[in-house]
Amino acid sequence: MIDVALLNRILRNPAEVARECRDDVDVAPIARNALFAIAAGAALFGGVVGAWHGGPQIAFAALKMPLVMLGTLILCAPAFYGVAAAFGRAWSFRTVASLALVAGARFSLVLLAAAPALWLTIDLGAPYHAIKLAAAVAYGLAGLAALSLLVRGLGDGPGKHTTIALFVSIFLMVGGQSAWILRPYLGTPGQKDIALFTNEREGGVAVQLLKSVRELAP
Amino acid sequence: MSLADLLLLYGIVGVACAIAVVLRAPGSRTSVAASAIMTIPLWPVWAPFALATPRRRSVAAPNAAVARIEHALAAAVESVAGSPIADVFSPKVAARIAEEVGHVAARLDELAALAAKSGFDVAAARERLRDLETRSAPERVIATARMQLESLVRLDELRAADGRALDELAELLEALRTQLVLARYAGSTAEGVGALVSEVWARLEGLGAAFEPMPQG
Repeated sequence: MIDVALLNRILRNPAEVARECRDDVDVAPIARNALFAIAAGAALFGGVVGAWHGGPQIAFAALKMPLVMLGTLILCAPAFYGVAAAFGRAWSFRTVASLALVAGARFSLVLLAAAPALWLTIDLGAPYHAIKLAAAVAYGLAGLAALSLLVRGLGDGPGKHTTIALFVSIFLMVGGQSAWILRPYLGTPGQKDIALFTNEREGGVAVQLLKSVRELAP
Repeated sequence: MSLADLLLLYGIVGVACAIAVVLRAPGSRTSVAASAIMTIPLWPVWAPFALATPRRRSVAAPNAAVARIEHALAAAVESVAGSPIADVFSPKVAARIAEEVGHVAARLDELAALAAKSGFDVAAARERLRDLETRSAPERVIATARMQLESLVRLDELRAADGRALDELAELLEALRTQLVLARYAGSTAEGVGALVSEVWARLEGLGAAFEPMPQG
């Protein structure tokens, strides 16, 4: 059963949820609901992104976006645990995993909130590169929301900023690479055949974002 | 090792964790099955939760409130000792209040210990009721489960309400102590103090009444 009140608290009272994760009490329902929020939020956002191309791309993107999110968290959780322990937070793996999941849930819920705006942008006929940047901005906002929860969750103490910097770096590297491996989500302009995965060599995420900025620059 | 090998290994560990979840996890059959299915693809982040023995949220121990009350009582008695208003709040009155608070705190401790035992878990009772309703169990079985849940929720609410009442009593006694100090040094009347003492007794009676056993016969 989905606890809507808990999801609401993740958005509106992240400090309280983060504290519950740290206390490691009754965290199983928090983790279960966070996993649901991650999967549902990312799937819906993926579906909206895929709507630019339409057709099967909607289903493909809706399937792949949660895979990226969950895959990234699965790959990052052990590293987060190690980093937290190395910088003075010798917490249980469950505590670290619950914090990561709740931060991921907040990320996905913000993506879900941004989905209607992105959908409207697509519906109004915005160009490909504008959609790509709008999606990146939504990701950025979601990342900031997740980061604020993580900052609260780590609490005060020595090594806090280093821990946060390492968490963010690890998440960006693993998440960026996972997303890149499972692309495309938006599709390519003029492309008729829609593939679940692509084997094209197009540089990296940073290169593509830079390309979009250049395209939009006057 | 290729990606396929890695995925196969990942899947094997996932299935092993799912089996462990089925064998170990508490709860209804439906929730255990759902948890096991979830474990296969998500074992690195879900298995630590699914396999862990749930740690219940500890019921707010009344000890902190009791300590505050005892401290406030001692301070109140001390603040009027040897003054003309010493009778308003004598050591005897303080001892009687402390005794009543001690009874209530002991009963709250008993309830907290009871709640920690198996069979007194509200979440488990709620899950059982949901499971029975999902399985379309006979109405009388569902009614019994519902009654059990309602009783547990009521017990929980009662405990929480009395924990809060102890906190409020502690605050009231702290206010009383300040009032007594004021009455002594500002030379004000003991009327306000008397009202506060009456309020303390009223609160204590309210607390005690909630825990009085039902009359027999």
